[in-house]
Amino acid sequence: MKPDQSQKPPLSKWVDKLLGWLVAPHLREEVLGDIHERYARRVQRLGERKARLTYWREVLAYARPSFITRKPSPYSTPSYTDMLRNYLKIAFRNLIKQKGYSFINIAGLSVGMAVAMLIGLWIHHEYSYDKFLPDYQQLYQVRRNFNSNGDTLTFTTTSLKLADALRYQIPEVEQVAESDHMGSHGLKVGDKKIYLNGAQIGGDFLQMFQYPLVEGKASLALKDPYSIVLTESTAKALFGSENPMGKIVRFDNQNDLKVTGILKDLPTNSSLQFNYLVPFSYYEATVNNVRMDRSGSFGNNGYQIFVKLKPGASYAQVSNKIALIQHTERNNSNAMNSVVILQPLQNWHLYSTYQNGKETGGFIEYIRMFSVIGILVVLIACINFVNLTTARSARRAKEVGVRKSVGSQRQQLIGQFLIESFLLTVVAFLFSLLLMQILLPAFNSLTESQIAIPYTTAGFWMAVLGCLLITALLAGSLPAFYLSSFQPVKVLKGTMQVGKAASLPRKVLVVAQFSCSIALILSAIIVFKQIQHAKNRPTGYDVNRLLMTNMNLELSQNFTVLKDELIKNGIAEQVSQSSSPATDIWWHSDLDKWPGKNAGETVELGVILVAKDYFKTVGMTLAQGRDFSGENDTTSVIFNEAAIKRFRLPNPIGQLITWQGKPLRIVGVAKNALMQSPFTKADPTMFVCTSFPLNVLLYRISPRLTTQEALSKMTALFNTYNPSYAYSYQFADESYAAKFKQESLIGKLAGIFAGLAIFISCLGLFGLASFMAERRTKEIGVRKVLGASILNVWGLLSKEFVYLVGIAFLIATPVAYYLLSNWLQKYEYRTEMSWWIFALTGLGAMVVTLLTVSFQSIKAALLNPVKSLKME
Amino acid sequence: MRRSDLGEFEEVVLLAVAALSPSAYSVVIAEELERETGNTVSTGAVHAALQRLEQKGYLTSLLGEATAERGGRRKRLFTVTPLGGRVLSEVRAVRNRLWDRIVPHTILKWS
Repeated sequence: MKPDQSQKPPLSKWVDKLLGWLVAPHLREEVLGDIHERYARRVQRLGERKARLTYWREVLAYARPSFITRKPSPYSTPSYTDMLRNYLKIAFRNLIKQKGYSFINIAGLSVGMAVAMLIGLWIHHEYSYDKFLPDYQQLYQVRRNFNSNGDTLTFTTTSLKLADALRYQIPEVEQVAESDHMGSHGLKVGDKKIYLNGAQIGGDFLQMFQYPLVEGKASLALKDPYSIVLTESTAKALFGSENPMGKIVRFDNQNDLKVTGILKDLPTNSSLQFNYLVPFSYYEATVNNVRMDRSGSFGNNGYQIFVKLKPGASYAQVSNKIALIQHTERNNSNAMNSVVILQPLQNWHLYSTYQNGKETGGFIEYIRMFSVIGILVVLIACINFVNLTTARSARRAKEVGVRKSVGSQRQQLIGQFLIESFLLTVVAFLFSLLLMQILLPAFNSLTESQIAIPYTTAGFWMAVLGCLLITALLAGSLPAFYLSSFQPVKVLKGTMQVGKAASLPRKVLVVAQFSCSIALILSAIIVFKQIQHAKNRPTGYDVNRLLMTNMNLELSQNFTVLKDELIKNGIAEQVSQSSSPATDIWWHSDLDKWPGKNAGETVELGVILVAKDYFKTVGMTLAQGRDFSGENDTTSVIFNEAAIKRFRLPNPIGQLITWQGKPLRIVGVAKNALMQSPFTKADPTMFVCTSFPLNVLLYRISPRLTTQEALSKMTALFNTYNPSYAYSYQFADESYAAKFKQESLIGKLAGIFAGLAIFISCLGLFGLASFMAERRTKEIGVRKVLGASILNVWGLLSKEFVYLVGIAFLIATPVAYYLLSNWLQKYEYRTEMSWWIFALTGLGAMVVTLLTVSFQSIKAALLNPVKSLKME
Repeated sequence: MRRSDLGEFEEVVLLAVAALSPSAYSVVIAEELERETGNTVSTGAVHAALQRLEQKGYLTSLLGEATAERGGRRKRLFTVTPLGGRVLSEVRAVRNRLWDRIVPHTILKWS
């Protein structure tokens, strides 16, 4: 086939396109022409096939800088920095010339940014929990889902038998550490006694949870049963500046333990908190029950288990294997089988709530809520900037006109205004850093964390830069597009009514701003009210002047003497002991039998073993029946009302139940007491009397003594009768108040942020009002000359804003109502959202608005019309 | 006059322009060089050399007529400037002088 002259090169279309894109425009024609001609000639000379082969080399030969480099534009291109310098100069002049507006903008933005950054740092801190441990992704805690008559309850208490089952039956499990409940024990070195919480924990623990060791080896430190690992501060408290390694610590006044390791103090973002570690083998060696539990039943749930999976193994792979591990065991004496699940370490802190056996959330919900609040506060501050800038656009209109007629393009003007907003944001950021530095100590003590501004981390600065850019764009883009759209002819002629076009978006933004603020304030009020509501809830017992001290062997031996002394000396009114502190229930169990039990029905029931005078001491009253007659009344049981209801016992007194194979007769019914969460219904609980020593000493100090006096007397008494231990105590009212810790924190933070949001919003309103008053000076002058009163003028200027805030209120109320009723749903005991809260908030917002606006409007109304009309 | 800024390939291209004048453009120059040297020469390389020479002031160019085989695109025709001419003859003179100094005996040994 003979190719003709106009033969197209192969692949011509896209190669042409590629070259056309590659080669500088002014060379395109000749280059493409050359290639085509060369190809055509080669086809004639050598044939199409050979021409095609060389074609590519020809094309590639053009991929060199001399063809790619674009020809410089013939027009003058002033270097970019020239204009930048001018923009910055103008921006600074504007900042300085209009101090009031600059102040409002910068103050609002820097407060907003400080709030957002604080929230950001706090969230970062909350997310950082336990991430400092090297293998945190492989670490889990064992939980079990227990079916209590249809409700799945999730517990962290597990059995030693389960620990062994996991260790030996599941190949994907690398290590297992069993642990006690990390309670407090007495440590003694010479005369130094301290009473601190620590863990008795499996020997592999330090290899799994690699908390940094200052001294000792992770693999050896917990090998010998009679060893102890201290944290640095515990070591310092016991040994001062001496080197503690190899020294002896007397543990619980029973045994001497050798110090085999020193841990760095645990950071606040560690979920596990302990002051020392004792090997679990010590616990087994010294306590008979524990040793028996290892071979005993899956039902002896009194331990925690931590698990490390092998690298590469995931929970998803093993979940099926371990779920029913308790069921695989034959001869399982305890019928209460649970479904075993693992919770990853990284979720411990933020996802602590379990519902129906699944993680449902926890603190993470508040984290999400505060991220939204942070963003809202910054948005509110940005709205100030947008509103004030567009409102004052008349001042900049002439500048825009002149710039445009001299030759500025729209993009350049947009750039200019964006640079201005960026500059403002940067200035605000510097102030917000200062503000944060000032606020951090207070914030840290509020949230009980040790957050510092991470000046040295690159990530922080990246995040800051990102936020600055976003803020500057958010705040600056609307004004930039608006200002740069002015037509120079109209502006310079003076026929343009500047500000009219932007007034609707401005109103919308003010409404948005106040909707957010009002919604935030409503939330803060409801959170506060919910906490107050739960705090005012009758607890069913009396936490005031009630003290709790953990029992130890010595104390329980001297209990009777001590009790006599306390009462005889008028220090305490009542003294008793129980298996759980007054503000908690440590033991849950099931009944074997009760009248009217359905086949297979199981019930999770709190069990509290008590000594004589328990009900008198904690101030619980009996609704029916009688109190225990004395220490030996061990065949009687007292239920609380919730338990009676749960077991459907119409005439409870005298009924026989069986618990742990033992028949017990119900002799009394106690009124419900809120020993666990103050937000839920009282747990079904039963009280059993025993003469054995129990866990907690309970005593109520006499109202005749001040707390200080009582404490000093008690210290003396305890030192006499319990000399091996440091005297420690806990006030029941304090430990009850601690149950509100999370909610109080959330309430306080929400309150503070809501207050700041309304402050920033009002700042913006103040600016807008002053602008309005300034613009209408002449109008007001004329009105006054014609006879308007000060009240008329005030109403005229304030009306518009009141109207906007009213709309904002109408928008915010239903939204807040919806969100808050959702939030309240998770509390069984919840406050109601009465209409008056909303009314009051609306009224409050109105009053604040009026106060803010009135300052400006009254000032304008008082102006002498002669002066205002003579202006110009 | 700086001699060093004329590379070997540039020199050949400049010579080719002078030889093919007045209708010297990259395609014909490339083909001419291919014919003379026996090596493949891409128009891109030639074109780049032409650009450099023009930049140095040894060549001037103007757009010529369009042809069908170029897809209706015009070609850029190059001519040697007086400066280019002087450089060429100077290069030649240097070469000649050096050639003249080679002892005939040496040349004999090469062949």
